Amino acid sequence: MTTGTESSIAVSAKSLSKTVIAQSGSLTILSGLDLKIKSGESVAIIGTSGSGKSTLLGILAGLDQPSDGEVALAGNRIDHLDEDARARVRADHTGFVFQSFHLLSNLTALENVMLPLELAGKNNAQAHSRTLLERVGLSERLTHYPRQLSGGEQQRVAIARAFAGQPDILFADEPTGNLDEKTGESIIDLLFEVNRENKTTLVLVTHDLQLAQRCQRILKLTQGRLEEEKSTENSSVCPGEAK
Amino acid sequence: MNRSLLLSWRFLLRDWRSGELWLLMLSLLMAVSVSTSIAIFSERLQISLGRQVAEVMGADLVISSPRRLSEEVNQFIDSQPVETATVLEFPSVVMAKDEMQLVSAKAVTSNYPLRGHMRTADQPFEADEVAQDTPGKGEVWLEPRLFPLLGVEVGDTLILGEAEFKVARAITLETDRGSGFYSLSPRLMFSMDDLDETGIIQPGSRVYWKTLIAGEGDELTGFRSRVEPLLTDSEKLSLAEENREDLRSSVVLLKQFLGLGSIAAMLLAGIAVAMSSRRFAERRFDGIAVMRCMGAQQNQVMQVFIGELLWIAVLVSVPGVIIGWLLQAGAVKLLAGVLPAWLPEAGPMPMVVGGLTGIITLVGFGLAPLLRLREVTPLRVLRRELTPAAAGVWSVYGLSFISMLALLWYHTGQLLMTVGVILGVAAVILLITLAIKAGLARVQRRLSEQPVPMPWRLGLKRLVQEQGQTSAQLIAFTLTFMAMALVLLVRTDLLDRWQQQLPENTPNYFAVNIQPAEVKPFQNFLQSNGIDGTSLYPMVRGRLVEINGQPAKEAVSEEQRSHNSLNRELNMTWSDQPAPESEMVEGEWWQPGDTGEISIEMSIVEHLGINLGDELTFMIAGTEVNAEVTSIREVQWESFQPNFYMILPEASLKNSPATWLNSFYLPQQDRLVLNELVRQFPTISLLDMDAVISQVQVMLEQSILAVEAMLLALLLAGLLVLASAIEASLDTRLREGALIRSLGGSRKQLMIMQVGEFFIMGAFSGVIAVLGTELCSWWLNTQVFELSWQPAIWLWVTLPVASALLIGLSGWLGIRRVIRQSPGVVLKQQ
Repeated sequence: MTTGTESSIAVSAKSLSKTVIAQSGSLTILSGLDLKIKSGESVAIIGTSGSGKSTLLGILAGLDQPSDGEVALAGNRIDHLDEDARARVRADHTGFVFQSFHLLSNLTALENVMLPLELAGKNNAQAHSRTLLERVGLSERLTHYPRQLSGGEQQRVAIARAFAGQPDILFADEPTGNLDEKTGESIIDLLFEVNRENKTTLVLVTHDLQLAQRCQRILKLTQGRLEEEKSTENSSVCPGEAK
Repeated sequence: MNRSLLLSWRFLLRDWRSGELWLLMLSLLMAVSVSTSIAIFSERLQISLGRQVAEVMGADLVISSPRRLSEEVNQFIDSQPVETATVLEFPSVVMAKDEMQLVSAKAVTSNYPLRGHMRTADQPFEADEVAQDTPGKGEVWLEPRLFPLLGVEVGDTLILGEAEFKVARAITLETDRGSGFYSLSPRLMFSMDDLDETGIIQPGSRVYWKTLIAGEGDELTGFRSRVEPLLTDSEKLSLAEENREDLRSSVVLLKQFLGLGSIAAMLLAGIAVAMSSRRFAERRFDGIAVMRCMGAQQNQVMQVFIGELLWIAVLVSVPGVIIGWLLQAGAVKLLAGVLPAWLPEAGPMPMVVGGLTGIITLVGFGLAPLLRLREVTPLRVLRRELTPAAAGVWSVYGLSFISMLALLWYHTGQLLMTVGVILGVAAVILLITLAIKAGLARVQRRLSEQPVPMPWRLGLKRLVQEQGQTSAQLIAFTLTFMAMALVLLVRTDLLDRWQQQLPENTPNYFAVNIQPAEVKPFQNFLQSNGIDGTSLYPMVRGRLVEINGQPAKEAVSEEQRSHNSLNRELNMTWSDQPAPESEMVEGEWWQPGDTGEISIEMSIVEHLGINLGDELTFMIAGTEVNAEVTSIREVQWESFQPNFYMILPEASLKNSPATWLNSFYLPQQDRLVLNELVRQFPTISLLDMDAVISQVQVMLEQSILAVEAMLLALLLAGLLVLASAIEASLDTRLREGALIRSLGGSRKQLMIMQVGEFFIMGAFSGVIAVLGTELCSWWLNTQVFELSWQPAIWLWVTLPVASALLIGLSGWLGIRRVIRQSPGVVLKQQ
């Protein structure tokens, strides 16, 4: 299935639909949505609250299944895979940053970053994680538990963790949603910097237009479909330098 | 798998460091240490109680036979790691000066008895002490009443067979004399070394050989199973524990009660494990969602967490077993004054079983909540409300039931009791689930119809909305109260029964062979010495000669032919009133004046195959007496009251020659009265039951103590369960409390809401627990302990009130943190 052209496509969706059964009847969240994101690209998906941004992110990242249509991640069709098979694809290709950080409360900062490496059975988990935490400026905080860290610090740990497995694609869900403006900005700087260093494809879901502007492309989700708000297909400007 | 095991080890260390595991580990530690200590303690007590029974028999095991044991058997016994002593009993006539007297002679080897002891006195009816030896060569020891009968004193000589002996001491207590009526002639004891010189034992002599055997538990069991096939029909093997009906039933009851205690304790520990592993699981939902998100597979996640659970089981089992051992050692030390002096060490088995119990409890009770982790979807990272459905009550408890059933059956060896308790527990769970469905729906309706103060409304609403959590907590509370109430209730019944069994003034002396003319003077003698001697029974001796018109020995099977009752004269009595100490099993009692009927004891039915309606013929003093079996009785042998195998109507026997039996209670300090009694009535045989009765009384006291200690341990276990149940709900409560506080709720409102909720749950679980307790106690009393049962009305009031208060109070203690906590801190952590 994978062709030469397609291999440069990191994420793609074709005729994607998602319908859920709610109390009031069935509710269509996504309907016939098409999308292609090239490797190395940074894409922001924006939309109003409840427009289905998180649902779309979930499906694109292989956390959820579409009701209909095709989804491919790093060249692998994942829409028809079961959860464990999708988990394998995620393990190989993706990283995540969430609005509420999702650090494990009973693990230290270092252990949180080591976790994906340990799950994958990597050997040098500790040394690698230490380097990553140093990279995000937390070399003094290795043995701190999440409850001992500020929101910004927790998100830094989350970023270090997201890059620990050297993912091809990073999915970020409102990464600054729980942070004050100043901290949020520094986190976004860091996110884009590390993203650029790792040449990772970035798919970012946000309702913050300013943040979205820092991505190469902006897609707006309305009524279950995506509209291209900003296209930088020919732009050679690196997102991290757009500031 | 190796990687998962390694990962689970890391998770264990991390969870331990962050303080996540203490409650789960504590619950498990309790399961292991309680089950180990109970297992060790009861095994030690059982061995020791068995040994006490053995003391009454003089050995752990006795092989009795009319001849010396065959060479083959003797050689086998010599090759075994057991100790043996030989005893020979035979009736003989002894002569001293001008007197002759029939005695029950007993020759013993120098190491007799192997268990227990004899007591002797330098002079008859004087202070006695434990005998350190046996009669020396050329010596005889006599029962006190023989002295006046023969007119001898210590130092005189007497003649037995062809040999002359010197009277050396008076035997005041011979533990293995027992309570049977077989050897009514007074005892004369001499050394086995003198046997040949007496020249008494000739081929065909009526003698009774007993080989006493003593050994340690396992050796004995092995010995028994190997020696049994070598024995002939006339060689009878009896085990101490099985031999004494009167003592045995107390041991069995205690064993059963300790069994019940372990069931309750393990059930409690199991609930504690279930509650804390539920919390353990719930606190991992978010982490697992993240791990799944990172690409961890369902199986990998399960392997890691089940692995962690197994690590915990292994790590906790070892200190658990050690603590269990220390606990029982401590208990033994503390109770040293009342426990048997000889308390042997238990083998390694209880410790192994204790350790395994931990693992099985953890898997049985802790696995089901953990299985929910399979259902955690990675999507939870985006939508936190995606909580896996609560594991069904039946799937959670189904697994626990199976493991419980297996464990308990193994621990107690009592299927009937185990099934009873488990069924009771199942009934309780069903009741709670139904009650919650119906009751909470009603509460919900009421809430929407009537205005209820805000704190109460919120408290009740939560009970309704979180039905899963509510059921789990209610089940835990209810089962805890049930286990405690049940043990308390059965304990009370058991103690009553034991106290009734041996009331203060249980007759400790039996006077037999009282001639009709002596009855009045004998009673007058007792009365003048302040002794109550009103319980008189006539005794008629007769031989059973025919069953349904056929000679008795031909009418029974070959195996039954050797039974004692066919080979000797039987003691019968007459009465027109049913004996108070026995229970009618079949048939009806006769009317005064009826003749030709007989009531027989249950064991005759079993041993001779005689049934209701059979016609029996007895030969009594040369006259045939016919009687039809019209009733069958079961006798409580442990009551120490005179009991008879055969009872006939007065009209049938009153013309037969009879002697009388009188049982009376004589306090220890008044024993010297017996001196005079024996002098005045030399033909009367006196049986001293005091030693046996005090032995039983000591055993009962020890049993009661063991039971009380068990109850205390259970109470502590129960409190731990309550703590884990409350702790398990703390996360939600913390969050909710913080929200209410941040919305302006006062501490007082929060307090009413949270404590009120616990209070209601306590009262509710108290009510259900009463139902469950009554159900189980009915089953246990009627089916297992054979005690009478009646509803415990007092429990219906006290248990709900006590449980409401206890849960309310524990809830208050547990959630003080919720109330004191600054809302900001809590909400930030969520």
